Amino acid sequence: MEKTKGFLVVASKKPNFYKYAVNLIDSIRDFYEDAKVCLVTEERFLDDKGRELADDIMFCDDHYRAKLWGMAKSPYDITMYLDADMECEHEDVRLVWDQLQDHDVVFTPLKEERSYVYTEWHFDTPEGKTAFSLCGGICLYDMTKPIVKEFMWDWWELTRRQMGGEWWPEGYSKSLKAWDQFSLWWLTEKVEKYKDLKIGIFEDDLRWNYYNALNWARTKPEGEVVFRHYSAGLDKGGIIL
Amino acid sequence: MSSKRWLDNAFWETEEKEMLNCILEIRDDIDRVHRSVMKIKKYKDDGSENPDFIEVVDALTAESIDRNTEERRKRKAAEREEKQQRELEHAKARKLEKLFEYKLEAFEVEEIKNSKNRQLKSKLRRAKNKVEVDLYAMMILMEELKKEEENGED
Repeated sequence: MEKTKGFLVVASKKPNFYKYAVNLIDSIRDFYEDAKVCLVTEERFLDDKGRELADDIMFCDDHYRAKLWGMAKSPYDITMYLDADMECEHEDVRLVWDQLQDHDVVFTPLKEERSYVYTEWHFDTPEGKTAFSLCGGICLYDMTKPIVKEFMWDWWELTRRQMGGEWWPEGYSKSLKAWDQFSLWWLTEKVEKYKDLKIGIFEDDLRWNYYNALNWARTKPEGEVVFRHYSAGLDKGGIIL
Repeated sequence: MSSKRWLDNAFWETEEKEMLNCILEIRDDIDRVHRSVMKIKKYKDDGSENPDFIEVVDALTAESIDRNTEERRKRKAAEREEKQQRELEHAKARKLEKLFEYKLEAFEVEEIKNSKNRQLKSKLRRAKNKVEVDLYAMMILMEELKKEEENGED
């Protein structure tokens, strides 16, 4: 049986995220009318527009990182998670599934030449200095693989415990607690069972997650932007992704 | 034993090469290192030659100072250009964010929100400036009003 494919968008905590999420789904449909989309949101935010646009709706709580809970509960076999404050700009959105190839999960990278837009990138570990290498802003993954299902759930659980003060490893700056990038880094770098997780990077990755805050003249994709990420300057009630 | 040396990154402060910017490094008797940035004039106030100036030029050579000055000039020019470019790009990004917010406000208008005209709504989303946003918003509103009128006549 063919695997189901769909986009997953999460809007929790602030009403603006819901507004961005609805716009993102609408913009996907501009180019990909029959796309399947799951909206994960708080019940208090849902309106007729959201009900009309989304094929699947799941209610989450107001956790700061409800996105990870939503990702772990995706109703689609192949899921493309997108941060709510993005917009689709190109018809190649239909081709996003090809990016999975034989990987389990696919991310965009955090690279040194773009580090001028990162809030916290390098950090100290007991073994020496390192840096985050994967961005959690978008993620394509195959939920039919047990290791992926487990990984997504562990990412949510570890982040929840990290942010809730239930877990923090010795020798790491407490400022990193705010980042789900840290739990992602921990799982992919420190947890033995995920050494076999096949992690891929989007080809011409900037097309798929183009931060509007990037220097357009210096940092640009080879092809046209498919998803633009308005992460830096929007009014998100003090929340910075 | 104490010692002193001029670091080899000195450069001319003026085109006339009458003032040097250089760094003096002094190592004291207990091996502590002190560095001071100095601006040294070629001539003293009484018009006589400044022996410190002569000492630095002799130690580092005029050619090396010329080379440093040129490299520094190029580096500073590149940094200025990079900064200007950053500011320009930042302004463009801010403008696009504002336009994005403006479009979202337009989509909050009840008639636009409920419109089924995907083509026009897509054009509104792709609008390149506020004028285009206003125009497409107006077209959608007019279409919705017309529909209301037609429904009223029925």
